[in-house]
Amino acid sequence: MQPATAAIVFDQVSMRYPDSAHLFRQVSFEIQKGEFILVSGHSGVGKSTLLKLMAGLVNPTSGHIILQQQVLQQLNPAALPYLRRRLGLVFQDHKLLFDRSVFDNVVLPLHIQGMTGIEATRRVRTALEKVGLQHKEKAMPITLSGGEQQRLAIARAVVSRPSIVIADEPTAGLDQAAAWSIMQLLKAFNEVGVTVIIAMHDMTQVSAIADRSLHIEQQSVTAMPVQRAIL
Amino acid sequence: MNPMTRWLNQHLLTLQQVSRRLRQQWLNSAMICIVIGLTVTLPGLIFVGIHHLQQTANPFKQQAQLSVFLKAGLSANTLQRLINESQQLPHVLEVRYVSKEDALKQLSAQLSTQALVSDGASNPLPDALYISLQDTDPAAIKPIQAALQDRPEIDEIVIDSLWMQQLHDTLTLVKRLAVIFTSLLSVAMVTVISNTVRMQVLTHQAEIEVSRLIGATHSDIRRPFLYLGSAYGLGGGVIAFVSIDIVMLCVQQPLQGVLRHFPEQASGSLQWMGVSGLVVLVSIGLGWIAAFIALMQPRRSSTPS
Repeated sequence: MQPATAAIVFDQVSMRYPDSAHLFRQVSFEIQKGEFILVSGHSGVGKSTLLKLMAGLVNPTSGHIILQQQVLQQLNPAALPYLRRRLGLVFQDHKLLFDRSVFDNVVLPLHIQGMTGIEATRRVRTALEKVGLQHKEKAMPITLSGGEQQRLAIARAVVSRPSIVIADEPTAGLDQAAAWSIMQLLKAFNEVGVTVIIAMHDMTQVSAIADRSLHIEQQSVTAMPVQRAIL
Repeated sequence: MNPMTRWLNQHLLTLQQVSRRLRQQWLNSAMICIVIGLTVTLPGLIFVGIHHLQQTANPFKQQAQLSVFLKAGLSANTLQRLINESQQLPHVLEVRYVSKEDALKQLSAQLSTQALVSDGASNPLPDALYISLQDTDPAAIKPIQAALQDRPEIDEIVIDSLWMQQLHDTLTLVKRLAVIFTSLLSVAMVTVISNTVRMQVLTHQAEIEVSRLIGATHSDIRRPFLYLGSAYGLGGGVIAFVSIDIVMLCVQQPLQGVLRHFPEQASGSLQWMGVSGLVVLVSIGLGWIAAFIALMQPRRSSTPS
């Protein structure tokens, strides 16, 4: 049984894509509620796949993943989207809709949940304010800089007030200042109780922020202090 | 937020989304609706035509009768016996006797001349019995004809409703052909809408992927496309409705002229609104089915992982 304080539990999880070698073999770990977790490891080691497993976007070859007290492998597939609504996902390539305005991109998760009107507008504006894009709600994403697009992706991830934010390389392609501001933003969400899990290969930006690191090496995941992972 | 409000909001948002898409691509949408409209108009008009032909034919069907022409010089007793015996035959509703004098008067009235009436000696018409029947079915008429034709008092029997029976048979054939024709056009319409919706699915692949990633269910993904298919069907149906009305208004005057030649009960007012309304409903239904078919392709094509 998952402890009440655990946000995500991996229990003997193995994963391999068809026609390729194992990425993970019998991996077990827990992420506690309110933690700021760094997923580290070399390129191609499986950081993105680990995040996808956490979000239920891919299924493990074996083992169990418990997300917010629910075993994903025992969950009715139709119920998975509802569970996913309680997560905030930030993707490396942002996955923004370029034919919609900044406001419409951020309001999308609320619309999916059936929220409209004043409450939805208020929440979108609050999210945009938190990421510093309140003055660009009518702009199209194509007109935004890389850093602003990433902020927009974060606003969309947090607008539905998720308890877990999962971000895959949220600072990729950004200069140091922009990357630092993104990390501060994620830290701010973490400080109000949101569990934040980020995958990064440049760990220097996150060393002072993350509580722990899940380091991937040789098909296994090791939980360790961030400083040790950097070394 | 309660589930009902959420459900309503989701459907309202989908309606807004679909109407925005239709507005953004108004020319494409209009062209698709015109194609659908014209495709639906043709069978719609055929059914309106069949409906009216049936309306015209129905009074005759109810008035099926035999004209029994009598030999000259029959006594009153013989005539009365023949009438009584005819009334006893199966499927006979009524037996009406028309003397040759009355027949001549009627003919003169129809020809608007007194010349025929004044020259009574040369009246060429026979006395006649008009036997109204309950059924126009040949199987019901033939025994009556057989029972009467060998009687010495009778000169000739004419089945007045035979041509109407042929008309009914022809109408049944035309109706069957119209159903086949309509089915083929429906397949064409479903294919056009289905293809258009499939193109829309491909165009909105990024949106589908993002929506799935942030928690949209399979129904959430499909709903806008089902609404879109129904909207195309509605647009096409409305165009068909208007087209049928325009065509019927154009032919109304000459058609009513033709119907004046038929008995009063056959030339009732032209009514096509019912068929037009049905065309709109069928069109919406076909649009929805077409979209449903378009979305039946494997889910993996739009599954992010």
